[in-house]
Amino acid sequence: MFRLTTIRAATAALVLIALAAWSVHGDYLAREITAEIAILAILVLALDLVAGFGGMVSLAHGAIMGVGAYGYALANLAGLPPWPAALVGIVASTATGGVIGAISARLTGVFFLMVTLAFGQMIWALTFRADALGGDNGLGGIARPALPFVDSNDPLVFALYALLMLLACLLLCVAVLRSPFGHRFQAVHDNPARAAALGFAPERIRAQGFAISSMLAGVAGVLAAQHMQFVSPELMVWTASGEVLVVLILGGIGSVTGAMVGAAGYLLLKHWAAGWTDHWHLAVGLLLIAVVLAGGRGLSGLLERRRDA
Amino acid sequence: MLQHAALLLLISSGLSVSFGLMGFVNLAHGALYMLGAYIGIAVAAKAGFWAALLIAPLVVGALGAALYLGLLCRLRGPMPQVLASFGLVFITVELVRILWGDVALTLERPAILAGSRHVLGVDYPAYRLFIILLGLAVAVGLWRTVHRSSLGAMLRAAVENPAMARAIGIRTGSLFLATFALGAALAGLGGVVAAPILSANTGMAISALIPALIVTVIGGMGSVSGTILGALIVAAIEVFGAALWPDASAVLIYAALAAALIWRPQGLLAVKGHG
Amino acid sequence: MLELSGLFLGFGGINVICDLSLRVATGERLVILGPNGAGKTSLLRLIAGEVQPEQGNIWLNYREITGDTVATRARAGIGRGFQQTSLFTGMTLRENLGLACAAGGRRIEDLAAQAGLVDLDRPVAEVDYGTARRLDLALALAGNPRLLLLDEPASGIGPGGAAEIHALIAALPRDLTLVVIEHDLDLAFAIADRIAIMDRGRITFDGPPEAARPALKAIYDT
Repeated sequence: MFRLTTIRAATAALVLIALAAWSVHGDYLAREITAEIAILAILVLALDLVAGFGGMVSLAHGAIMGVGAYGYALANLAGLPPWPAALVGIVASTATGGVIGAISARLTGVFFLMVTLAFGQMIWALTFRADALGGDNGLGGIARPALPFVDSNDPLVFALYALLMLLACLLLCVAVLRSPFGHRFQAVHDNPARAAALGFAPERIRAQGFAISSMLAGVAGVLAAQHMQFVSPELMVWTASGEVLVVLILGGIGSVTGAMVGAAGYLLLKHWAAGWTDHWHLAVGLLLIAVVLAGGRGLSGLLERRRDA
Repeated sequence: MLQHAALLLLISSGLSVSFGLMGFVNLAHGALYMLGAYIGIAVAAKAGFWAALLIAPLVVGALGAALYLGLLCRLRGPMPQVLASFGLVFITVELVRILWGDVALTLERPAILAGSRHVLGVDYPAYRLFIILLGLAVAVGLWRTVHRSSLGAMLRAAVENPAMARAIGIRTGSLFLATFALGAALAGLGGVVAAPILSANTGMAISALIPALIVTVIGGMGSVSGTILGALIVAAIEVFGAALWPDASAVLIYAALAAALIWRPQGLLAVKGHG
Repeated sequence: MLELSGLFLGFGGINVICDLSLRVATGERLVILGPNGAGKTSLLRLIAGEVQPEQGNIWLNYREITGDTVATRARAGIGRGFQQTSLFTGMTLRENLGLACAAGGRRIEDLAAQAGLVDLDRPVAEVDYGTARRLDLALALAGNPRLLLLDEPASGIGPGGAAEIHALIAALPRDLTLVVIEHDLDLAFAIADRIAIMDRGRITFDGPPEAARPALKAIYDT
């Protein structure tokens, strides 16, 4: 059951403020990395919603995000202005996730993991093969949104815009988890037999939760398309989803703030390590195993441990 | 197609053993397969192909045993296993890159398996013939191990109710260790055998995993004949699909996986229990 | 109000429930007794919809519910308590009650008072088993059920706690139909209007409590 503890709220605020301050005072690279962190954090947040609170560990989230990115790109390239195009992308992701969720909701655990892997790879393979979607080459020339008073092509503006979107997604995620639906969603995960005996339809609730999570993934996809102004099937391949899962585990699953901590830590480590080594995935692998051995609560779990006991 | 199916069978049999019999979702299976290829190439350079065919699976099997004892047996529940083995993929791939570099390595097929043989009225490349025969041999060997000896039944008992299995005298710890090491050794064998055809590269760790998972799930986990059937189905979809309808063949494989997961009634539903 | 006809349920080649038929009238309090493995819990699971019969039909208030899911039957008025308490262990008592009341429309405070629950902000993982038992019963009652299925509602707690639970059950409204599995004969007789004895998947006795005593003597004394 999710609780917005003081330490969680403080961690989230701290990460957001630190990133905003870094992009304001930092250079071009800092602003690009901030935008990247915000986008990854939204995707990890989407995964945390289903995996951390619904026990639905998905390896399709990369593909679902990709659907949002392609939806935005195609709508925009077809002449739709950025904001309506963003809506198209988000709706496409939500619908995709809704369908995958409806079909897969009766599976749990590793079987759910594998069936989402299959659906994700189907989407990837379709995109990879479709000439209309640019195939292997992807699609370029995608517009950024028009914002009042400022120009979203400015890296600082885009970084702050992405952080604002992250904040919005964070608040939405908390609101969902604290809503009656969120309680039912967590109850179905906590005790499916009792939830059914109370009259909740577990599969429908799980499918709805997956659709909501996919909506957030769609937001991340639209932002990614706006940020890179380019989309390619690489977004969708299952290892991309696997990486999102790794970030969630490292950050701390089932805590909401873990998604932000994980995304920031992971990308900062990546960019820092890229300067001097080609083998930084070695550290990621070791960290992942260490976190799993330590009970799987991640970085944010480490922060909370004293409070919780 | 038979050659492709036999290779798939070799790659999948190891996963079928650890996943099917032990319920261990080992995402590092492809990494072990990759290690088999690299170690095989290293051994072959010193001692020839046949030595590699023997030594590489043994080394990978031993590595698997060490991993199981040192790490994997401490994990309870499928999700930690999935995650830890995913971590092992990262680590193995980087170690292989450090040791062998990023360039794909090739392994010469031995002289006796070069050229082709006249079989049933057609010329067939000798090495492909060898793969098919080896695949058959592994299948028969596995089938005897799992069904003829009581290993299969003991494993099922140990997975379903470890306490009860121990109570009736099954040493579950060593049983799981042996099974996992066998799965790893089979992955290593697949790696060596594939090296002359596919060349060894770090992409193998990921690219081999998905077909192996698909074969294992479609065929029915832990059943040797099911794994053979699964390998044939996947190979048929890949080979004929690629020829007849290339755009859809990649999608078809994943659709088959999803369908197998959703419609296979036994063992996949979460709700267990009885009065 | 509840009618079962010709139910069969197999499990691994054995008939757990074998040609079982039963009618329960509105407001009746039926206690099911019988040795371990008689199929009592399986019968409850069939009524609740957790398992589906291989043959036979189930009606609730003259409407066939065979094939309906657990959730559908719950909404049709079946409340369910579990042999091992089945709670939302990651939540507080209040959150458990809140979920159940959101489904059933009763007020948390009324339900807590009825089940004798206090200090509702305690996490369920930390409460004693007697409290957990009362919460399990409260969850079963939250949906204003017309038929309440209870599977050894007082198992695992001491005699004092068991008596409390039974007082609670005895005080339930008379128009609520009860089907209760109970091992403890004294407790069973304290609740029952009618007793059914099960053995090997069949009902071997069905009648008023006083008539059940000789049949029970045969089972429990040997």
